[in-house]
Amino acid sequence: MSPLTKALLQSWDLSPEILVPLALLGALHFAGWLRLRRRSVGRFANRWRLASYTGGILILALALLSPIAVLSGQLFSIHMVQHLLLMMVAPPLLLLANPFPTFLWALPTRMRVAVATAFRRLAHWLAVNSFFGRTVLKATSPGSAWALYVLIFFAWHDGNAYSLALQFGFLHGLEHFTFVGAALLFWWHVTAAAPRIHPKPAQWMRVAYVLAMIPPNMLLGVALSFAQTPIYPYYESVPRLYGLSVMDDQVWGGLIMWIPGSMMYVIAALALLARLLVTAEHKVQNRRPHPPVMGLAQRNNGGGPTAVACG
Amino acid sequence: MCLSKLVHFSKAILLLLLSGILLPAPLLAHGGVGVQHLNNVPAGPFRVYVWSDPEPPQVGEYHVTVALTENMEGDSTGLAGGPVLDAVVTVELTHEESGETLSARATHDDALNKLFYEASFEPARQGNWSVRVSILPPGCATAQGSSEQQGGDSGLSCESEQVVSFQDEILPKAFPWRALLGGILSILLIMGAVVLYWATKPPTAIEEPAPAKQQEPAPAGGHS
Repeated sequence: MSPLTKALLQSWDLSPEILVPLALLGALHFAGWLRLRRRSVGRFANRWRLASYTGGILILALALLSPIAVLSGQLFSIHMVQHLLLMMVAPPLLLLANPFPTFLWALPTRMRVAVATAFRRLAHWLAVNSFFGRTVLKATSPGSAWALYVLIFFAWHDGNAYSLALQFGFLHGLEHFTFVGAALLFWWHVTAAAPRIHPKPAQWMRVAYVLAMIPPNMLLGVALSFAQTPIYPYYESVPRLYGLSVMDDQVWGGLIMWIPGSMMYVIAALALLARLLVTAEHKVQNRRPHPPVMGLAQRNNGGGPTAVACG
Repeated sequence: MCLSKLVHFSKAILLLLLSGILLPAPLLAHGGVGVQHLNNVPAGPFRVYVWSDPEPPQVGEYHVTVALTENMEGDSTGLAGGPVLDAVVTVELTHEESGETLSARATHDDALNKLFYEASFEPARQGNWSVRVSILPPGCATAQGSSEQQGGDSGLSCESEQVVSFQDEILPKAFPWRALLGGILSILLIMGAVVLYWATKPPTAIEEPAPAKQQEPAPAGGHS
């Protein structure tokens, strides 16, 4: 292994302020999952949910602690990989596990009841036709969530905002916080995770909602890939790696955003479509008439096949 | 009774704070490399990049980060050379008024990005400091006594020490505005949660429905 690659692979940012909260989030979820599994015989706490949540936490750790985080200040393409993990991979994995009820089960009984009651009250209060309730519901509706996601996505990839974020650690942290916050709000509607304060959207609506994110994502990716000048001058002030020029790095970054980025939404849409088809099949199966009994061909069975008719 | 309510309330606030901090904390914690002072400056066989952190520099904490690349002949942009990872980098801080000097070796161990070198200081005086970065070719760490010695595989003489410098003003320790802001935000969060809790409380307690009276079984023979 070349000394350069070795040094790159050793560049981990194991800060306790990142490591400890991520470990706590994982441990709390696992405690709740275990308790819920004992109570519900695995119905609400199956292995898929645990794997999905743990995967989400590991992806967050990869994006924030690994050489990906450290090198994002030196290579734009690596920075785009980090953004992709923070916006398009970790949030859906975390929410697919439906972690809210699991976290509730990690709490002591009295506190769990208190928190659940508080949320029930909040839901009841939002359902009442008040100005504040309407505002909250509108601000967190699927349309608003989509618009906020797109706005934050474009705003932080503006040349000036991006350079400022790279220069000042606090702004960079804020960038990541808003990315993950907006992404959680967006994927919340896709995964229909609890707590739900909006009516559950139809499955085909969710497919359309996810697909509607592809054009803005492609637009940014294409703009970055085909730009004739460096959009982020910050990268001209850091040493280059592997002979990759600033412009080549920018093209790679744009391609990562464009192709694998869009693929994430396509994968989510395909998963939703598959679920839609399975649900439809279940419905058809449930409507199918009861199989007739031999010798009762004359019995009215609603037009279904009979033993005699079937030969 | 009152004490148990208080304990319960404190636990709820602790939970609220914990849940409010757990996810934002790792996302907001992000160290930057700092403010750049030298960008792609040629210094003999090297090109030098230097940053300092924090911004603004304050009494008690000052980090200098150095990156080195090869200075290739005929490269007008200065970006063609690869990183130099085994040079000997020393950083010296000199207070301009008092002449106090602080010196430290910049190493990869102290840097997050292992391609960079970092040295940390705790300057006790405010004012203008002169920052001097001296670079010896790779392999010169033990050869400083004998100036004729060649620097390891680099083939450069250990005599060819390169020096770059800049000035920086270190300010008195600032009031911790960020911590204060964080504290105010936390208090507002708690107050908001308490107000929301009371605002969403139903006006009247939901009464448990009275248990339905079980009908006595009809006597044999039925009612008349």
